[in-house]
Amino acid sequence: MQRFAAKGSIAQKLIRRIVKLVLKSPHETTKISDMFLLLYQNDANLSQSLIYSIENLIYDKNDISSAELLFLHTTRTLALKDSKQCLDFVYSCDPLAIGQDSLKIIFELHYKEEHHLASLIILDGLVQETWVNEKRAEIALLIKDKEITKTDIIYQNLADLLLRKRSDGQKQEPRNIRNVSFFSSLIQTPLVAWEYRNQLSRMIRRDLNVKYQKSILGWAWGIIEPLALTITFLFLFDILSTSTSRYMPLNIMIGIIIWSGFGHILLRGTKSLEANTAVLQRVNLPRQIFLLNIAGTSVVTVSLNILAVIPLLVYYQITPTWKLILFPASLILVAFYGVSVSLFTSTIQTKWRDVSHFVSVAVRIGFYFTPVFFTLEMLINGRIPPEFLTAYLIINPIAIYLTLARSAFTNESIEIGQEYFWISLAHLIILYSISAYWFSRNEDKAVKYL
Amino acid sequence: MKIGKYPIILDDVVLDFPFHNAGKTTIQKQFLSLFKGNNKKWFRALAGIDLRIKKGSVVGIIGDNGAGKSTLLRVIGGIYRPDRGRVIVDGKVILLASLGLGFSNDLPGRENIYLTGGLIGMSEEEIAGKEQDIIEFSGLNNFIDAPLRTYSSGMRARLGFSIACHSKPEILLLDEVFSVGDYEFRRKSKQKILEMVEGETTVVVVSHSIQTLEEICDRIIYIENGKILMSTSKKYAIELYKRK
Repeated sequence: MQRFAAKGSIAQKLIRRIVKLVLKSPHETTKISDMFLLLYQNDANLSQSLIYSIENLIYDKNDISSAELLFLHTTRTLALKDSKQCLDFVYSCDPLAIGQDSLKIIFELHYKEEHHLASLIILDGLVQETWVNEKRAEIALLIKDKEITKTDIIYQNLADLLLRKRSDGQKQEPRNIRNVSFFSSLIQTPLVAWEYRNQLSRMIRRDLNVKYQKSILGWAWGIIEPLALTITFLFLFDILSTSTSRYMPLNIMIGIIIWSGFGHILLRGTKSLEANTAVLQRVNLPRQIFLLNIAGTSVVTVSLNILAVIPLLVYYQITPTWKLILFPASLILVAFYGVSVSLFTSTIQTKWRDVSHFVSVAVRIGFYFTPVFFTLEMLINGRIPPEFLTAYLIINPIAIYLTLARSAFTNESIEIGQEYFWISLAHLIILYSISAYWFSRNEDKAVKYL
Repeated sequence: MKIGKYPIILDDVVLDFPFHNAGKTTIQKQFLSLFKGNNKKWFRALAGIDLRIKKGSVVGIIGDNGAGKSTLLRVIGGIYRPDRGRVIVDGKVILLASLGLGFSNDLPGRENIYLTGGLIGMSEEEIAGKEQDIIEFSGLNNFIDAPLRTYSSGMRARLGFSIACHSKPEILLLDEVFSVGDYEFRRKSKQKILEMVEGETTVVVVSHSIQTLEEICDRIIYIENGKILMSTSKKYAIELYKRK
């Protein structure tokens, strides 16, 4: 079966030229037939492309007469070449494109191939003239002494369906694209989170349980990694730099714990559709649920790991104040940022698997360009010109959220103006709107690539 | 439209799939195709399916590999949205494919009952109440606390079928579920299906096993190249399928 679309640019070009020619001068039959033959010499598997062209004419351009013409010329050419291929084409094509002339050709084909039952059905669809009645009588005689074959029965069914669709096919429904308004796409993800809250909490608990299954240290691993990295960076700072801030170990540790949570959301969130292919192809679920699961798991993990800073707080003799509330707030903002990016990347990842590699490189580089193992203060007092600093803060809202999270514990004042916080919030909201809209427009298509 | 009588209605459903040619395409071609616009690398999985399935009937789908049987089930199950046409499905649908419902490999069978039960829309109390029944019907008594990766494919299918049945679906879609089960499981599940049909559940079965279809179906749909060739009583369609 030639169901696969044609590849190769020459054939595509020829099709475009034929469509143009048919639309412009439909009566130059010989010229059109010549071009069709040229086309078939070039590539035999073109039926699919022609079917799409015809559908395009019917549904997108609302031009049935041109579609009929294109169909007629195609069948005429194909009928000369290979009748089996021609019938394949006819029954794969949209019935709306079949006019009286084309129906005659189809009848002749069936008649020639001795599909008597099918030809009788096609005769019903033709305008009742004398020759039609004569043929009908002739076939009725033929049927009596011939055995009915399987192909005949199949074509009879197909022809019946074709005529039925053709007669009640005037409805012309447009292509089915999920029609989501911009604003409803924005609330889609929060709604899913609320509706499936019980399920999500179960999934998050499962993730946490599975994560440290079969490991001796278990939960301690969540703290060991940031601790080891903190010690490494402190060591490096001691060797390389003279400027040290007072709460350096605390700041590095908070930065690394939050960044690892953020990187986790981005890396796994990008793969959230791909990794759950088995479920997505079996259960009808909102497709954001896996991403929300990953984000939730990260937020819980970070909140648990952050307990590791308690000994440091005791060491520095810091008593927490109301400012502590800044930590959960900034953590949520970071998670929200990760979800916004992942809504976009997860859909593209299903088509191009390169995206996850790109994201993992970006996370690695982002680690160094964001004040994770240093502080924003060091950056401001560094050798950066102020206009670059402004641009940097607009591009990288995570830097601001990290600083907020740090000040929650250290009570240090923030050295940048409040307006940068509002800018970062605007950045976040714009990013989320775009990717949420993208997701709702493309999720149906993305699932097909799984 | 009498939705009450026909819980599944498909009107001229068309579904196109992207044509996977991974490895063949180069970056250059991908880049150029951005400018050429729609380069039509699609193939038609379902080409205009019209279908009406009565409430409380068992419908079998036969056809060659790649004819579009599983895709059709997924369209009914709401997993793929059709590119053209209408799908009206009235009631709670559960799709069960050969290897379970989408299980987690690292968790024990018992946890998986809760996990998948939740995914297909059962509440926690509901599952807790039926847990014993589910385990008993699946016949996995000794293995239910072992991690799922140690299960054989037949055991997975049994667990999946058991969960699906006990969630009281109004429409049950089965995709090659019986092919991996043993004789005893097949007998039990056929009986269960017939029981469910009496309770007005509609069942659609995809299978290559003509014997199974002959035993349980009221009607057979014969699909080829994404089109319905036949939708008749089982004898006729099976006869035709065998003659091939």
